[in-house]
Amino acid sequence: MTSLARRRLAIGTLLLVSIAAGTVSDRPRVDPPIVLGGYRVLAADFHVHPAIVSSAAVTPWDLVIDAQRQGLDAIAITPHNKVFPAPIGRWFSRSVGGPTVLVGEEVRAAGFHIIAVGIEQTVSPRQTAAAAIEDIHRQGGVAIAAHPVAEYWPAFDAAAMAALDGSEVMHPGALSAEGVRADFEAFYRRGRLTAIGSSDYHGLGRLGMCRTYVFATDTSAAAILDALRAGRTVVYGVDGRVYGDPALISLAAGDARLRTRAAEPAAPADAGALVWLSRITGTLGLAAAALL
Amino acid sequence: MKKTVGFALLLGCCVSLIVSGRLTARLVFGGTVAWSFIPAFEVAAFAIVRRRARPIRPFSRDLDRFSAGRRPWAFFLVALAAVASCLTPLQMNAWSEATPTLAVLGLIASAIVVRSGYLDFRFYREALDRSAADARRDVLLQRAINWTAAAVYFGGYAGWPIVADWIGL
Repeated sequence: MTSLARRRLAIGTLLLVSIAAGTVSDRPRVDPPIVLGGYRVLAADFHVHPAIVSSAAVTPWDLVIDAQRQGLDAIAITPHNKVFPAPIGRWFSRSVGGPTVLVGEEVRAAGFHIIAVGIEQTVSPRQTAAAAIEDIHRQGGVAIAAHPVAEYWPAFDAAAMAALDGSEVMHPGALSAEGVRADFEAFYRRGRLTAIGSSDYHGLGRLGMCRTYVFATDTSAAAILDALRAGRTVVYGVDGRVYGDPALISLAAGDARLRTRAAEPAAPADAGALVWLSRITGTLGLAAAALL
Repeated sequence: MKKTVGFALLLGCCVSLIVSGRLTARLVFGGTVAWSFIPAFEVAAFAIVRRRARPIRPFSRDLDRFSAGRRPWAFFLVALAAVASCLTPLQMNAWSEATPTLAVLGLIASAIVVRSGYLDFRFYREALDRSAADARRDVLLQRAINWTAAAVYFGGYAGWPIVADWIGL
């Protein structure tokens, strides 16, 4: 056997060991459902970007599986300025009995970003925020202001604010910057908006890192959209802050599981022996392959 | 062609390491599918540029030799994925938004652009027997085609409305 063949064999073995250890350790989690006040409490992330003709790393089908791994009951797949490939994720989830997947879009205009949840056709970003929200409502969807830092506020005039359904009050951007957090809170308090926590997941960080607890009548997309329109959400923020419907916040306070689960995705990963084995052998194998 | 397929798999492995901190079959597969546009556009651009040189060797052989220019990128991506796989989500969030981190990554990437450009230049000179001036033009043309196509695929479609607003269309 030549030296090159031996190196190739070693690299192949390292990568196979890594993939085997990683795949075995990648198990789904099963959380018992939470029912409070007659509502099914669903953990949801409404701002998730898919790969494939889009600026993100993870395919729609892997997002569905990752949502299960992170204990999410629902996600909205929201590509930039289009809905494709969100329907692929919905189809896949229905096929495997995964979480509820809502088709959505991040309407990404020059002056504002709006998350459209529960739509089927692309909403054009080349219109005012109020017109985009009207378009979303016409399709039966819900409009959420995405990471509303101060530079986006001018686009949300009185007409847009009157029509807007919700606002991201928790987002990874708020975790590390006090100013960003203050902007999100100030915007949220401008109107009677549904509190939303989203991860704006592109593949870095973790899906569901910031999440929304939706108090829905069941797990269907229609029930989730109804709950969002009615403002039936609770969002846990940093430093003990809680946002959402005051009655539901009181109700949620009686069940410690909600706050505990909300904090889990931001905590360090449970890196057991198999994960470390996969990480180390994978890195060594890939480094050797890159040098080949 | 083997090295191009290998590079696509390496991209899938890096996605898996970054996203889950390990290699899993599903994320390696998904990452390879989602990111294969990078080697695909590279091969297409290479095929276009190579035709200008009247090559004598088979395409697949030239392509494998041309792949040496990817080595610095491959090593950089593996190093990046290895670091990312050890970070907590909060660290990753802070790390990916920190200006010093982005500046350092930008500097490293710039050095890699220069190094891989030099490797490609040498390939055109030695394997395709091009003059220095032609080899320089080949490198620039190959990158212009490849990078433009990749940028349009990755963000251009969604980004176009914003660009159109900026330029007043």
